[in-house]
Amino acid sequence: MAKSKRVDKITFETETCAGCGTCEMACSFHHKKVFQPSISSLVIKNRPREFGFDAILYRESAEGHIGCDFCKGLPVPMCVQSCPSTLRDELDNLLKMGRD
Amino acid sequence: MEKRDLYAYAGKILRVDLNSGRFAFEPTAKYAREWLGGSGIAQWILYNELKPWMTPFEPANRLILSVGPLVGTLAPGGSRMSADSKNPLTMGVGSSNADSFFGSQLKYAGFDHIIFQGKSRKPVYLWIDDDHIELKDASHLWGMTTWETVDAIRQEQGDEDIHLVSIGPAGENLVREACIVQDKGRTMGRCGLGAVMGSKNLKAVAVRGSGSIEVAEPERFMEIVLQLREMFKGSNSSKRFEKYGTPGVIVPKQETSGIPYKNFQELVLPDELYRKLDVEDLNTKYKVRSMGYPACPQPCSRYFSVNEGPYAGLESEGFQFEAMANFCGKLAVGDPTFQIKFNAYCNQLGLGIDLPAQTIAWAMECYQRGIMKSSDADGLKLEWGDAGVILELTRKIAYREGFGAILAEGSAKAAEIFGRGSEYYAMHIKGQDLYEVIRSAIAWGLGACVSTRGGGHVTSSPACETVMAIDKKKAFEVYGVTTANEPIAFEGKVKLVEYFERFHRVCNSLGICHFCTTWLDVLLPGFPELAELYSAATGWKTTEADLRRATTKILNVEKAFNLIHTSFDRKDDYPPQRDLAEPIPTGPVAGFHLTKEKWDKLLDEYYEMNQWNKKTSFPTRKCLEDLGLSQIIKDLEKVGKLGGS
Repeated sequence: MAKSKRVDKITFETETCAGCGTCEMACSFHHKKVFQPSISSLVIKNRPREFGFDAILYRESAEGHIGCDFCKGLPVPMCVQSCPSTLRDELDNLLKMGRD
Repeated sequence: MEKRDLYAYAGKILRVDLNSGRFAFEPTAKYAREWLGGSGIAQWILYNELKPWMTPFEPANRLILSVGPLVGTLAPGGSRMSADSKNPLTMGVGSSNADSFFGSQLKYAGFDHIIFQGKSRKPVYLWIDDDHIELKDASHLWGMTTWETVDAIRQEQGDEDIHLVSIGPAGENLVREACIVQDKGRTMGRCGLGAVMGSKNLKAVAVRGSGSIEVAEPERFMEIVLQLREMFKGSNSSKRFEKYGTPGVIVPKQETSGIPYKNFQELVLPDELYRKLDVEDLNTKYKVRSMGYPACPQPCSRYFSVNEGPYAGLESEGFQFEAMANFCGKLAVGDPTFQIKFNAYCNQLGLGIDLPAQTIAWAMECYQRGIMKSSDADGLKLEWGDAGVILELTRKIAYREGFGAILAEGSAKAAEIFGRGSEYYAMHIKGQDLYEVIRSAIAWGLGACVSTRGGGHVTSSPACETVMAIDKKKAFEVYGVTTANEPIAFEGKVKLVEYFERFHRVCNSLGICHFCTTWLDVLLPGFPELAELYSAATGWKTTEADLRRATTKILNVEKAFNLIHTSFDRKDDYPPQRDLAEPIPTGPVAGFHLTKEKWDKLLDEYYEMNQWNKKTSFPTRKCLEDLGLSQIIKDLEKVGKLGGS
């Protein structure tokens, strides 16, 4: 996990994430009722030198992304709901770590 | 949210004139309501803009990249993109489709389609960064594999998350089934559209989009999305599919004689080879992790790392069953890591896998039968299962070297060039190399043979015939037949093809992956569900009947394109000679013989269903009038191909 000093965002190195980015669309829909990954609180990125995906969680609004509100009011966060059911445990844990 | 004129669609079509380097724009709304989107719109544009004298590789040909209205939303499976153009293998309809990240990015950048025409004087790539559009020099990329191209463009733009489509050496060298590769692992594989791109000196298209896609009724849309996702939870086919991907179908395909072995001489694998290709072993030994595409609830792809054998060290996104059947079945290679290697190699070269597999299989059978000698093949011994020879021939194909230059034309044309009675062994439909086993599954075979683009098993064929244990009651409800999973039964098969001819075009127009629909399992979303989703997305009330009518129109546009641009008629809707001449030799349906008489009856019924003339296959005046296609009536009359009733 790496925390940026200037922007409150956390980068997680995922192990099972399939990189589909469905969570990004779900997140933007939660915030603005549109599909727009560029404003999502959660960003899935290709690792530059090896196969794999990092997940960046914005805990504050910055760099064009809306800060995560952990979908308060919903029983399950939108990103976790939209993640394929066989893979979502990792995302659920990441969010819990991000909240703490 | 402000009210918009057009929901779900991005709204704009980008036209690129590669001769002048100029861009122009038109509104998607001009076509959307009537032609749905994706390849539906693309085929209508091609019908109107291409003349018969325009050949596939000349500047006047158009290449259209398309993304449907449901892409970039959470519609389950909504990640597909299409490429459409004149087909270098058949000279008729060319259309191919792939999963993509590119598709949604293009929509977020504001575009539903990009239409290329002309030819650039030097290699270029198109860079779209929201409203910044630029043709950039690609001289330094020309000659690179697609993987090298992806890395180079991402480095050039300083962004590892740019998505692109590109061609490799095969496209640059106009190999007839060169393909367009999305990032490093998904391809618009059929119909040689990578060669069309190469003929325009267009190396790649890269895109980054930060805009949004809005749907007309957001709450209703999400309600439907959640309902549709529930359908996947109840489907065993979906669970198996997520675990193994399409290679998992090796089991039912072996049980229904659906695997081409040694150029379709047999239709089952020998036991020893079948055991070596076990999909559980494949996952256990080589899978690193699952890979998925936007909005898909069942990520079916896998990233592999090969740690043993001659290809140790290779890492790649995995392959489809088609690759397994082509490389280990048709070419009889006994090493399961070869599937990963050959698939990766073809992706890097930008070469559709059907062409090397089928042309090499043709050559190997000719060698087996003494029709071809090593001296005809640059001194290579064309022994079945020789992976080294296969890889070397594939390289020669991509670079049009020596014997590879003949194979690069596809097996139909290669056999025409080579002669010596080799034509019988060239398995193709309308000039495009064949992967599908025709003679052991009737609807599967019929759909492939009548497909407007020349073969292909998604264009009109049902997967259900051979790959799933079906809920018979639900199958009757959805397809209207009781024989959906009885491969060699004839009854009901034309009705199945009727369903899938239209349903396929719904998927390709809206941008939905077939595997997220009734194509994989009757329990998954079908016509009614997609109609509801499209209605909530666009705000246009659309029923199943509306979708069926729109896609019947698209089908007839494609049929008319073929009639105007080629000499295809009834005679071209038959299987290869081998399928009608030879009973199935071994396996569970040994002895079954698909004869010409049986095929004739099937074709008669199929043409009648479509209101096409039985003798010629030409659409009748009534068919086209019912669909409101008066322009096509005039065009077909001009060329003497309007069907008499």
